[in-house]
Amino acid sequence: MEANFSLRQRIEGAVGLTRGLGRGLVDSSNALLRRVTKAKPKPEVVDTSLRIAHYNLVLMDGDGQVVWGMEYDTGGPFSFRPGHRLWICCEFTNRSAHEAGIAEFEIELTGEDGSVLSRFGDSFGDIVVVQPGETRKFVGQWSL
Amino acid sequence: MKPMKTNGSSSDSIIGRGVEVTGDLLFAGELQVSGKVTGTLTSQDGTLIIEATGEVDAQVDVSVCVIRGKFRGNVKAKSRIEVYKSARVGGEVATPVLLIEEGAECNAAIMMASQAMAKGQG
Repeated sequence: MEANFSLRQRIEGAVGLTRGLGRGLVDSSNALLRRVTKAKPKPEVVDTSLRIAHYNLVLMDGDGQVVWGMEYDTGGPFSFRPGHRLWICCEFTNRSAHEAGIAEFEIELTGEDGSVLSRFGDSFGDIVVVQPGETRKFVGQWSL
Repeated sequence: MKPMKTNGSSSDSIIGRGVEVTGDLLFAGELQVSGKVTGTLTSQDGTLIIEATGEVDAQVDVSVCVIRGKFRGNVKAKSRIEVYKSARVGGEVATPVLLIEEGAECNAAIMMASQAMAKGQG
C-alpha cells in the first residue's frame, strides 16, 4: 500500500515536472517570439528626392570630347520627388564661323553644392552637323 | 487700367482666399494666389505660386511658376514651371524646365523653350 502510494506520488511528481517544463518551454518560446517580433526592423524610408539648383548641357563630338558646355540656373532650388516627371530643354546656337559636329549630349542635374545628381544622355548614332548661326534643341526627361 | 505694383522688395505678397483681383499685376519676389486673379501677371525674376484654392485666368510672364490650383491662359516662365497633383492647367505653357506631379490635370499646349529663348535672347 505504501509502495503503491509512493509510486503514485512519484508518477504525479513526474507529470507535474513535465507540465512545468512544458509551461516553461511555451513561456520562453512566446517570449522569444515577442522578442523576434519586436526586433523586426522597420522598413527604412529612403529619401530619394533630389534638390536641384542648376543644370548643365554638355555636347560631345564623335570621339567623346566635350565641344561645348553651358550651366543654367533653375531659378532657385526645387525638390524632385518620387511621382514627379521632369523635362528640361536646352539649346545650342552655333555662333562660330565653322560648323559644329555633335555626336551625343548630356544634361546634368546639379545640386546647390554643384555636385551632379543625375544625368540624362542621348547619342545620335551619327554626327549631327550644326551650321554657323543654326540652333538645335536638346531635351532631357527624368522620372522618380 | 493702370498696372498695380506690389511691394518692390523681395518680401512675399499674398492674394488671399476670397479675394478677387482683375487687372495687370507687376510684382517682385514671390506672389501667392489663394483667391482669384484675372488679367496679366508679370515679374522679371519673381515666383508666382497658385495655391490649391487659387484660380488664375491670365497672361503670365514670370521666372518661376508653381501651380497647385486652377490656371487658364498663357504662362511663360523663363526658369521653370511646377505643376502639382491638385492643379488643373489649361491654355499654353512655355518654359525650359517643366516638373509635373502624377495626378495633375494638364490640358495645355506645352512649349519647351530654352532659357535663352524664354529670356528673348534667341
